[in-house]
Amino acid sequence: MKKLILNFFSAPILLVVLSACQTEQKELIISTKSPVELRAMQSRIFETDDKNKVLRAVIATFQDLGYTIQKVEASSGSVSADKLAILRMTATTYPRGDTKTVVRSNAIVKLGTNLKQGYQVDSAEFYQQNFFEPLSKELFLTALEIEDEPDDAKEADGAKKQTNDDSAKAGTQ
Amino acid sequence: MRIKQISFFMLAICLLASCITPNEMAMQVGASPESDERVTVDLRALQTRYFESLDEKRLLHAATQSLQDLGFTISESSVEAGVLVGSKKRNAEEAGQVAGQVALTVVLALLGSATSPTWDQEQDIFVSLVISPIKNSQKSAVRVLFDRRITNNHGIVWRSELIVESEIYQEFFDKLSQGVFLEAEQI
Repeated sequence: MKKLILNFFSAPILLVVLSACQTEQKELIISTKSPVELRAMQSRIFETDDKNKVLRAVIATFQDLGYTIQKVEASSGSVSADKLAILRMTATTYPRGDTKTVVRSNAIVKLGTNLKQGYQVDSAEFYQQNFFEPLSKELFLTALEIEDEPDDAKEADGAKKQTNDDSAKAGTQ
Repeated sequence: MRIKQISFFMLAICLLASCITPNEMAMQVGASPESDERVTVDLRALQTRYFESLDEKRLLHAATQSLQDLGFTISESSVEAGVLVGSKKRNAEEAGQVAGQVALTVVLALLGSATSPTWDQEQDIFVSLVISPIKNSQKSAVRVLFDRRITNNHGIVWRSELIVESEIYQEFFDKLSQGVFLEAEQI
Protein backbone atom coordinates (compact mmCIF):
# COMPACT_ATOMS: atom_id res chain seq x y z
CA MET A 1 0.00 0.00 0.00
CA LYS A 2 2.83 2.37 0.89
CA LYS A 3 4.42 1.63 -2.47
CA LEU A 4 1.14 2.39 -4.22
CA ILE A 5 0.83 5.74 -2.48
CA LEU A 6 4.44 6.49 -3.29
CA ASN A 7 3.78 5.77 -6.97
CA PHE A 8 0.69 7.95 -7.02
CA PHE A 9 2.61 10.87 -5.58
CA SER A 10 5.89 10.39 -7.42
CA ALA A 11 4.72 11.45 -10.89
CA PRO A 12 3.18 14.85 -9.96
CA ILE A 13 6.18 15.65 -7.73
CA LEU A 14 8.63 14.77 -10.48
CA LEU A 15 6.71 16.90 -12.98
CA VAL A 16 6.69 19.90 -10.65
CA VAL A 17 10.41 19.54 -9.92
CA LEU A 18 11.21 19.14 -13.61
CA SER A 19 9.15 22.15 -14.60
CA ALA A 20 11.00 24.19 -11.97
CA CYS A 21 14.23 23.51 -13.88
CA GLN A 22 12.79 24.71 -17.15
CA THR A 23 13.33 28.17 -18.60
CA GLU A 24 12.38 29.47 -22.03
CA GLN A 25 15.42 28.74 -24.19
CA LYS A 26 16.41 27.68 -27.67
CA GLU A 27 15.64 24.11 -28.70
CA LEU A 28 19.30 23.09 -28.85
CA ILE A 29 22.06 24.44 -26.66
CA ILE A 30 25.44 23.96 -28.31
CA SER A 31 28.58 23.47 -26.19
CA THR A 32 30.68 26.54 -25.54
CA LYS A 33 33.92 24.51 -25.68
CA SER A 34 36.27 25.16 -28.60
CA PRO A 35 35.88 23.06 -31.78
CA VAL A 36 39.41 21.65 -31.23
CA GLU A 37 38.53 20.52 -27.72
CA LEU A 38 35.22 19.01 -28.87
CA ARG A 39 36.85 17.21 -31.77
CA ALA A 40 39.48 15.74 -29.47
CA MET A 41 36.92 14.30 -27.04
CA GLN A 42 34.51 13.12 -29.75
CA SER A 43 36.99 11.45 -32.13
CA ARG A 44 39.25 8.41 -32.03
CA ILE A 45 41.43 6.72 -34.64
CA PHE A 46 41.43 2.95 -35.14
CA GLU A 47 44.21 1.09 -36.92
CA THR A 48 42.05 -0.56 -39.55
CA ASP A 49 41.02 0.30 -43.10
CA ASP A 50 37.85 -1.80 -42.92
CA LYS A 51 35.19 0.90 -42.77
CA ASN A 52 32.30 -1.57 -42.81
CA LYS A 53 33.78 -3.50 -39.87
CA VAL A 54 34.03 -0.28 -37.86
CA LEU A 55 30.48 0.72 -38.82
CA ARG A 56 29.16 -2.66 -37.69
CA ALA A 57 31.13 -2.40 -34.45
CA VAL A 58 29.59 1.03 -33.83
CA ILE A 59 26.11 -0.47 -34.34
CA ALA A 60 26.91 -3.43 -32.05
CA THR A 61 28.24 -1.04 -29.38
CA PHE A 62 25.06 1.00 -29.53
CA GLN A 63 23.03 -2.17 -29.01
CA ASP A 64 25.25 -3.26 -26.11
CA LEU A 65 24.71 0.10 -24.47
CA GLY A 66 20.93 -0.18 -24.84
CA TYR A 67 20.43 2.34 -27.62
CA THR A 68 17.75 1.89 -30.27
CA ILE A 69 19.17 2.42 -33.75
CA GLN A 70 17.27 5.12 -35.62
CA LYS A 71 19.10 5.66 -38.89
CA VAL A 72 21.98 3.95 -40.69
CA GLU A 73 23.65 5.23 -43.82
CA ALA A 74 26.32 2.69 -44.78
CA SER A 75 27.70 4.64 -47.74
CA SER A 76 28.49 7.70 -45.63
CA GLY A 77 29.25 5.58 -42.55
CA SER A 78 26.84 7.31 -40.20
CA VAL A 79 24.62 5.82 -37.51
CA SER A 80 22.08 7.61 -35.30
CA ALA A 81 20.68 6.02 -32.17
CA ASP A 82 18.42 6.98 -29.26
CA LYS A 83 18.47 5.85 -25.66
CA LEU A 84 15.32 6.04 -23.54
CA ALA A 85 14.14 9.15 -25.45
CA ILE A 86 16.66 11.21 -23.46
CA LEU A 87 19.97 10.63 -25.17
CA ARG A 88 20.60 10.83 -28.92
CA MET A 89 23.97 9.94 -30.38
CA THR A 90 25.27 10.11 -33.94
CA ALA A 91 28.52 8.40 -34.91
CA THR A 92 30.27 8.77 -38.25
CA THR A 93 33.15 6.70 -39.56
CA TYR A 94 35.53 7.91 -42.22
CA PRO A 95 38.93 6.78 -43.52
CA ARG A 96 42.14 8.55 -42.52
CA GLY A 97 44.94 7.73 -44.94
CA ASP A 98 45.08 4.17 -46.27
CA THR A 99 45.27 2.26 -43.02
CA LYS A 100 43.18 4.07 -40.42
CA THR A 101 39.56 4.84 -39.70
CA VAL A 102 38.27 7.73 -37.64
CA VAL A 103 35.11 7.50 -35.55
CA ARG A 104 33.48 10.72 -34.44
CA SER A 105 30.46 10.76 -32.20
CA ASN A 106 28.21 13.53 -31.00
CA ALA A 107 25.63 13.23 -28.25
CA ILE A 108 22.61 15.38 -27.44
CA VAL A 109 20.79 15.00 -24.14
CA LYS A 110 17.16 16.09 -23.94
CA LEU A 111 15.74 17.60 -20.77
CA GLY A 112 12.83 19.77 -19.70
CA THR A 113 9.09 19.36 -20.14
CA ASN A 114 8.35 16.73 -22.75
CA LEU A 115 12.12 16.46 -23.40
CA LYS A 116 12.05 19.39 -25.80
CA GLN A 117 15.28 21.06 -24.74
CA GLY A 118 18.44 19.57 -26.26
CA TYR A 119 21.97 20.05 -24.90
CA GLN A 120 25.14 19.00 -26.67
CA VAL A 121 27.13 16.72 -24.36
CA ASP A 122 30.67 18.06 -23.92
CA SER A 123 32.11 15.77 -21.25
CA ALA A 124 35.27 13.93 -22.34
CA GLU A 125 34.54 11.31 -19.66
CA PHE A 126 31.15 10.54 -21.21
CA TYR A 127 32.52 9.92 -24.70
CA GLN A 128 35.43 7.86 -23.36
CA GLN A 129 33.55 5.69 -20.82
CA ASN A 130 30.16 5.43 -22.46
CA PHE A 131 31.20 5.02 -26.06
CA PHE A 132 34.86 4.64 -27.05
CA GLU A 133 35.83 2.12 -24.34
CA PRO A 134 33.06 -0.34 -25.27
CA LEU A 135 33.73 0.33 -28.97
CA SER A 136 37.43 -0.55 -28.55
CA LYS A 137 36.47 -3.79 -26.85
CA GLU A 138 34.06 -4.62 -29.66
CA LEU A 139 36.73 -3.95 -32.29
CA PHE A 140 39.60 -5.54 -30.31
CA LEU A 141 41.54 -2.39 -31.19
CA THR A 142 42.91 0.50 -29.16
CA ALA A 143 41.20 3.82 -29.65
CA LEU A 144 43.95 6.34 -30.35
CA GLU A 145 43.54 10.01 -29.58
CA ILE A 146 43.27 12.07 -32.72
CA GLU A 147 46.34 14.18 -33.49
CA ASP A 148 45.29 16.81 -35.95
CA GLU A 149 46.01 20.01 -34.12
CA PRO A 150 47.30 22.86 -36.31
CA ASP A 151 51.09 22.99 -36.64
CA ASP A 152 51.48 26.28 -34.75
CA ALA A 153 49.58 24.84 -31.76
CA LYS A 154 51.89 21.84 -31.71
CA GLU A 155 54.96 24.08 -31.70
CA ALA A 156 53.59 26.03 -28.75
CA ASP A 157 53.23 22.83 -26.76
CA GLY A 158 57.00 22.57 -26.34
CA ALA A 159 59.72 20.13 -27.13
CA LYS A 160 58.70 17.40 -24.68
CA LYS A 161 55.29 16.78 -26.26
CA GLN A 162 56.88 16.90 -29.69
CA THR A 163 59.24 14.10 -28.69
CA ASN A 164 56.33 12.06 -27.33
CA ASP A 165 54.36 12.57 -30.54
CA ASP A 166 57.32 11.46 -32.63
CA SER A 167 57.89 8.32 -30.60
CA ALA A 168 54.14 7.52 -30.69
CA LYS A 169 54.10 7.91 -34.45
CA ALA A 170 57.19 5.75 -34.80
CA GLY A 171 55.48 3.11 -32.68
CA THR A 172 52.39 2.97 -34.87
CA GLN A 173 54.29 2.78 -38.16
CA MET B 1 13.75 -3.80 -0.51
CA ARG B 2 11.28 -1.02 0.26
CA ILE B 3 14.00 1.06 1.90
CA LYS B 4 16.11 0.62 -1.22
CA GLN B 5 13.24 1.77 -3.43
CA ILE B 6 12.54 4.79 -1.28
CA SER B 7 16.20 5.74 -1.15
CA PHE B 8 16.42 5.47 -4.93
CA PHE B 9 13.35 7.67 -5.19
CA MET B 10 14.78 10.22 -2.77
CA LEU B 11 18.07 10.22 -4.65
CA ALA B 12 16.19 10.93 -7.89
CA ILE B 13 14.35 13.81 -6.21
CA CYS B 14 17.62 15.25 -4.84
CA LEU B 15 19.27 15.04 -8.24
CA LEU B 16 16.30 16.65 -9.94
CA ALA B 17 15.93 19.32 -7.30
CA SER B 18 19.54 20.34 -7.72
CA CYS B 19 18.92 20.71 -11.49
CA ILE B 20 21.20 17.95 -12.74
CA THR B 21 23.54 19.17 -15.51
CA PRO B 22 23.12 17.80 -19.04
CA ASN B 23 26.56 16.12 -18.85
CA GLU B 24 25.67 14.34 -15.59
CA MET B 25 22.37 13.23 -17.08
CA ALA B 26 24.20 11.90 -20.17
CA MET B 27 26.65 9.98 -17.93
CA GLN B 28 23.79 8.30 -16.07
CA VAL B 29 21.54 7.53 -19.02
CA GLY B 30 24.43 6.57 -21.32
CA ALA B 31 25.90 3.95 -18.96
CA SER B 32 25.69 0.34 -20.05
CA PRO B 33 22.45 -1.37 -18.94
CA GLU B 34 24.60 -4.17 -17.50
CA SER B 35 25.97 -1.73 -14.91
CA ASP B 36 22.39 -1.14 -13.71
CA GLU B 37 21.75 -3.43 -10.75
CA ARG B 38 18.01 -3.46 -11.46
CA VAL B 39 18.69 -5.33 -14.73
CA THR B 40 19.31 -8.85 -13.55
CA VAL B 41 19.06 -10.78 -16.80
CA ASP B 42 21.86 -11.35 -19.28
CA LEU B 43 20.67 -8.92 -21.93
CA ARG B 44 22.96 -10.15 -24.68
CA ALA B 45 21.78 -13.75 -24.26
CA LEU B 46 18.16 -12.64 -24.13
CA GLN B 47 18.43 -10.53 -27.26
CA THR B 48 20.57 -12.78 -29.47
CA ARG B 49 19.91 -15.95 -31.45
CA TYR B 50 22.12 -17.70 -33.98
CA PHE B 51 20.96 -18.89 -37.38
CA GLU B 52 22.69 -21.40 -39.66
CA SER B 53 22.98 -19.03 -42.58
CA LEU B 54 25.36 -16.39 -43.87
CA ASP B 55 22.77 -14.96 -46.21
CA GLU B 56 22.11 -11.65 -44.47
CA LYS B 57 19.66 -10.48 -47.08
CA ARG B 58 17.49 -13.55 -46.58
CA LEU B 59 17.56 -13.17 -42.79
CA LEU B 60 16.72 -9.48 -43.12
CA HIS B 61 13.82 -10.38 -45.37
CA ALA B 62 12.50 -12.94 -42.88
CA ALA B 63 12.96 -10.50 -39.96
CA THR B 64 11.04 -7.78 -41.83
CA GLN B 65 8.14 -10.18 -42.35
CA SER B 66 8.19 -11.30 -38.71
CA LEU B 67 8.13 -7.72 -37.43
CA GLN B 68 5.29 -6.91 -39.79
CA ASP B 69 3.42 -9.97 -38.46
CA LEU B 70 3.80 -8.44 -34.99
CA GLY B 71 2.33 -5.13 -36.20
CA PHE B 72 5.50 -3.07 -36.53
CA THR B 73 6.01 -0.42 -39.19
CA ILE B 74 9.51 -0.56 -40.64
CA SER B 75 11.19 2.84 -40.73
CA GLU B 76 14.76 1.95 -41.63
CA SER B 77 16.46 -0.94 -43.37
CA SER B 78 20.07 -1.30 -44.46
CA VAL B 79 21.41 -4.46 -46.08
CA GLU B 80 25.04 -3.24 -46.02
CA ALA B 81 24.94 -2.85 -42.25
CA GLY B 82 22.38 -5.61 -41.60
CA VAL B 83 20.06 -3.27 -39.72
CA LEU B 84 16.29 -3.11 -39.42
CA VAL B 85 14.37 -0.50 -37.41
CA GLY B 86 10.64 -0.31 -36.71
CA SER B 87 8.01 0.92 -34.31
CA LYS B 88 4.40 0.51 -33.29
CA LYS B 89 1.90 2.45 -31.24
CA ARG B 90 -0.36 0.85 -28.66
CA ASN B 91 -2.93 2.04 -26.19
CA ALA B 92 -1.52 1.92 -22.64
CA GLU B 93 -4.65 2.93 -20.73
CA GLU B 94 -5.54 0.70 -17.82
CA ALA B 95 -8.90 1.06 -16.14
CA GLY B 96 -7.38 0.54 -12.67
CA GLN B 97 -4.81 3.28 -13.08
CA VAL B 98 -7.34 5.77 -14.50
CA ALA B 99 -9.83 5.04 -11.70
CA GLY B 100 -7.08 5.35 -9.07
CA GLN B 101 -5.89 8.70 -10.42
CA VAL B 102 -9.41 10.13 -10.65
CA ALA B 103 -10.16 8.94 -7.11
CA LEU B 104 -6.93 10.53 -5.87
CA THR B 105 -7.83 13.81 -7.57
CA VAL B 106 -11.25 13.78 -5.91
CA VAL B 107 -9.71 13.07 -2.49
CA LEU B 108 -7.14 15.84 -2.94
CA ALA B 109 -9.86 18.24 -4.15
CA LEU B 110 -11.86 17.50 -0.98
CA LEU B 111 -8.72 18.29 1.01
CA GLY B 112 -8.49 21.61 -0.84
CA SER B 113 -5.69 20.81 -3.29
CA ALA B 114 -6.20 20.94 -7.06
CA THR B 115 -4.38 18.36 -9.17
CA SER B 116 -4.84 17.02 -12.63
CA PRO B 117 -5.25 13.22 -12.87
CA THR B 118 -2.42 11.65 -14.86
CA TRP B 119 -2.27 8.18 -16.33
CA ASP B 120 -0.52 6.23 -19.09
CA GLN B 121 -2.28 6.93 -22.39
CA GLU B 122 -0.21 5.49 -25.19
CA GLN B 123 2.97 3.55 -25.65
CA ASP B 124 5.37 3.59 -28.58
CA ILE B 125 7.38 0.40 -28.91
CA PHE B 126 10.62 0.64 -30.85
CA VAL B 127 12.61 -2.25 -32.23
CA SER B 128 16.10 -2.35 -33.69
CA LEU B 129 17.49 -5.52 -35.16
CA VAL B 130 21.06 -6.18 -36.27
CA ILE B 131 22.35 -9.16 -38.21
CA SER B 132 26.07 -9.92 -38.09
CA PRO B 133 27.97 -12.85 -39.56
CA ILE B 134 30.02 -14.87 -37.08
CA LYS B 135 33.66 -15.11 -38.10
CA ASN B 136 34.99 -18.52 -39.21
CA SER B 137 31.56 -20.16 -39.09
CA GLN B 138 28.46 -20.60 -41.18
CA LYS B 139 26.31 -18.76 -38.67
CA SER B 140 24.84 -15.30 -38.31
CA ALA B 141 23.85 -13.64 -35.06
CA VAL B 142 20.55 -11.80 -34.90
CA ARG B 143 20.32 -9.33 -32.05
CA VAL B 144 17.08 -7.54 -31.38
CA LEU B 145 16.27 -4.84 -28.88
CA PHE B 146 12.85 -3.53 -27.87
CA ASP B 147 12.17 -0.39 -25.87
CA ARG B 148 9.05 1.57 -25.05
CA ARG B 149 8.09 5.15 -24.39
CA ILE B 150 4.90 5.88 -22.51
CA THR B 151 2.98 9.08 -23.08
CA ASN B 152 0.50 10.24 -20.45
CA ASN B 153 -2.95 11.73 -20.98
CA HIS B 154 -1.39 15.24 -21.11
CA GLY B 155 0.67 14.26 -24.16
CA ILE B 156 3.97 14.16 -22.24
CA VAL B 157 6.53 11.35 -22.55
CA TRP B 158 6.90 10.47 -18.90
CA ARG B 159 8.40 7.02 -18.89
CA SER B 160 10.78 5.25 -21.19
CA GLU B 161 12.40 1.90 -20.59
CA LEU B 162 14.24 -1.00 -22.16
CA ILE B 163 11.99 -4.05 -22.44
CA VAL B 164 13.58 -6.94 -20.53
CA GLU B 165 10.67 -9.41 -20.43
CA SER B 166 11.97 -12.62 -21.96
CA GLU B 167 8.52 -13.62 -23.38
CA ILE B 168 8.57 -10.70 -25.82
CA TYR B 169 11.98 -11.71 -27.18
CA GLN B 170 11.01 -15.37 -27.26
CA GLU B 171 7.83 -14.62 -29.20
CA PHE B 172 9.77 -12.63 -31.76
CA PHE B 173 12.47 -15.28 -32.22
CA ASP B 174 9.85 -18.03 -32.56
CA LYS B 175 8.22 -16.03 -35.34
CA LEU B 176 11.61 -15.36 -36.94
CA SER B 177 12.61 -19.05 -36.88
CA GLN B 178 9.35 -19.96 -38.61
CA GLY B 179 9.90 -17.09 -41.07
CA VAL B 180 13.43 -18.26 -41.92
CA PHE B 181 12.09 -21.77 -42.50
CA LEU B 182 9.28 -20.44 -44.71
CA GLU B 183 11.79 -18.32 -46.65
CA ALA B 184 14.02 -21.36 -47.17
CA GLU B 185 11.04 -23.33 -48.45
CA GLN B 186 9.90 -20.29 -50.44
CA ILE B 187 6.35 -20.44 -49.08
